[in-house]
Amino acid sequence: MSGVHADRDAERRTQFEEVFRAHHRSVARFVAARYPTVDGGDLVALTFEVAWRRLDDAPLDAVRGWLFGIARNHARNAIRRRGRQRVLVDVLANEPVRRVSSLHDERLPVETAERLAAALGQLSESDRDVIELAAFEGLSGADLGAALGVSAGTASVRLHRARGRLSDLFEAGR
Amino acid sequence: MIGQDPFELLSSLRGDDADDYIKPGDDPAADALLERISNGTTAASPTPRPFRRRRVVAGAVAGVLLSSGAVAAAVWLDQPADPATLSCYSSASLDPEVQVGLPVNAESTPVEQCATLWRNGTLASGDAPPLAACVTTDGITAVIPGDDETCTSLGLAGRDPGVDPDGTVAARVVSTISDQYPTDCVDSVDQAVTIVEEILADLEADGWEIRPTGAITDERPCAYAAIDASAQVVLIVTAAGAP
Repeated sequence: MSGVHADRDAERRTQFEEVFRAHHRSVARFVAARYPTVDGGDLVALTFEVAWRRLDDAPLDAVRGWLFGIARNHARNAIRRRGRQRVLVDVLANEPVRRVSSLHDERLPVETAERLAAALGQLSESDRDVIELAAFEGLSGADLGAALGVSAGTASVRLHRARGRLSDLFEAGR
Repeated sequence: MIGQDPFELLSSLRGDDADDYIKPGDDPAADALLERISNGTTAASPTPRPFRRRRVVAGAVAGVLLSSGAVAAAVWLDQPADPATLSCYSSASLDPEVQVGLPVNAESTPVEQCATLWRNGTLASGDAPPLAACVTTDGITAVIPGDDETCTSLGLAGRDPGVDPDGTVAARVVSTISDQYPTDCVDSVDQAVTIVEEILADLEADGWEIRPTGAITDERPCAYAAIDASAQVVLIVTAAGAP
């Protein structure tokens, strides 16, 4: 290996280590909370393996969202591999409901949690995606766009519309 | 509580989302994973997928038009770098309202697969419109309402309908491993490798790599196969038993 290549390899390793050490825990939390039916350790490992291979594509201003996007894609693939599309739809439809329900005792009145769960459950998958990434994971701007695979502006518009539809469904459930 | 913004309510459920940096030695498991990924992949030397050759079709027509001074819109055809993943779009846009991801079914075509989602109301109500199979810049097949020129107008290549031996094999690898890999716990990495080797041999899937990524432990007693079709790699990962 030439000196130039060795330097580049070392630089790449350093860059990856920074990404890994800075974001491993948040990716692990995201995966555990969002995809409880998928093995979290594997998904985190796969996410960072892909991140290593595609490090040159990482958006510097949105690395966290980019990693979440990789994890989302792998989780969906894992769920698909496990079963048929019906299973995917069922799992994705039920996870946010489970998640809200599991928290209502501590933070929200039961009735409010149930209305939230019902409203979330009625959203389209794309609306639910953007709401969950923004509300549960706190993503915004470029990070939200990177997680969804769209521009920051598009993500913002999509979030605004999804919030409107969520509000309508939440109010309709009163 | 009534009258509060539901989005704000959901946001209030969020825990501490600080990005806590892992210093070396803080988390031995994370350190080991970091070491495994960077060392393992480097040892194999990271090999980015080569760009697939693009080609222009309808060359004769374009030639005639160009020779007469007109500007021809060439139709670009390409093969997906990831032949196992398919995305169905609800509109002719790079940012459709609804986008559904599916594994490619080797027994069907991308357009037929997405047409089913139109007909069953997943993408929209009503019959399936004319659909075109494009290839995104990420190298996956995207089926959008329109025709090949719609792909071009969005800056995408049309999906080459020709037979792509690599793509066909990859789709079969994905579907066959999904179907044939045991649903019961496989408690040996070697056994998992053997199972996958036999499947790949049956499919004559040359050029695929089987890469074990961990050992069986009390906490991770089962070995599973995870497929990265675009890299032609089957990872053997260890994990808890299936829920």
